Amino acid sequence: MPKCAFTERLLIDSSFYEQLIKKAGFGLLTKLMYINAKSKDYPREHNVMSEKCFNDIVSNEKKQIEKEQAVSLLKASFRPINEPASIEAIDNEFERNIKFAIELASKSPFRTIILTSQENLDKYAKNPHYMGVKSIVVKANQDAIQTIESMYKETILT
Amino acid sequence: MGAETIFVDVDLARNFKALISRTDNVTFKDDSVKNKILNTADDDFLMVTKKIGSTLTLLSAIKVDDALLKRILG
Repeated sequence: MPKCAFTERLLIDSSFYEQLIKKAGFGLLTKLMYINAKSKDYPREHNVMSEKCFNDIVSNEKKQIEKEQAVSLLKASFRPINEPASIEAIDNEFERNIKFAIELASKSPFRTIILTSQENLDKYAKNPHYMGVKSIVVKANQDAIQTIESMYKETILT
Repeated sequence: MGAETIFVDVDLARNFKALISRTDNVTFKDDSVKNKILNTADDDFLMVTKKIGSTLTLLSAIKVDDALLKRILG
């Protein structure tokens, strides 16, 4: 199967999932699955989410089989990450995601995009850990959706 | 004999087809599961329930579409 060498990895935050993916009827989730599946360098883990956020999303499922199905569907779209443990231990989601993004960008393709909602864009922008960092960028709403659409198109054309 | 373990795997249909064609160790709950996988387009995603006991058995295969995502995650 032909694979895509994407120029950025994606880090999805909880507000992007709750406010954009869910509200858009989950079509974006399928596109994230294709990006994950067709990534040349990080197959099945190109897109990631902090494990704390991931666990919060699936914690509402009561029946074990439903929870397992939900986890598997979400993992196909974005992998939960918990390492380095010192980053996952950070309580503040914005600081945690920025530091995960910086760590991801320390390896090829050396650039990470954090996908979030409009209301949280400023919280990332004003976070002291984000100031002056060139290897990561934060995108919200349409800008973020456009990034997914563009990477998804690459998977179709490859 | 150890306990059986059942879990769910989501992947492209082409990868499940490769599993079926490359190993003799896969069995199916019934023929409809095998047919569902083989008849799904390579680039569609499937949610497959697997059972590992003394062998790997595929119990069910459901095409991943917006309706399924909404039902499970909505």
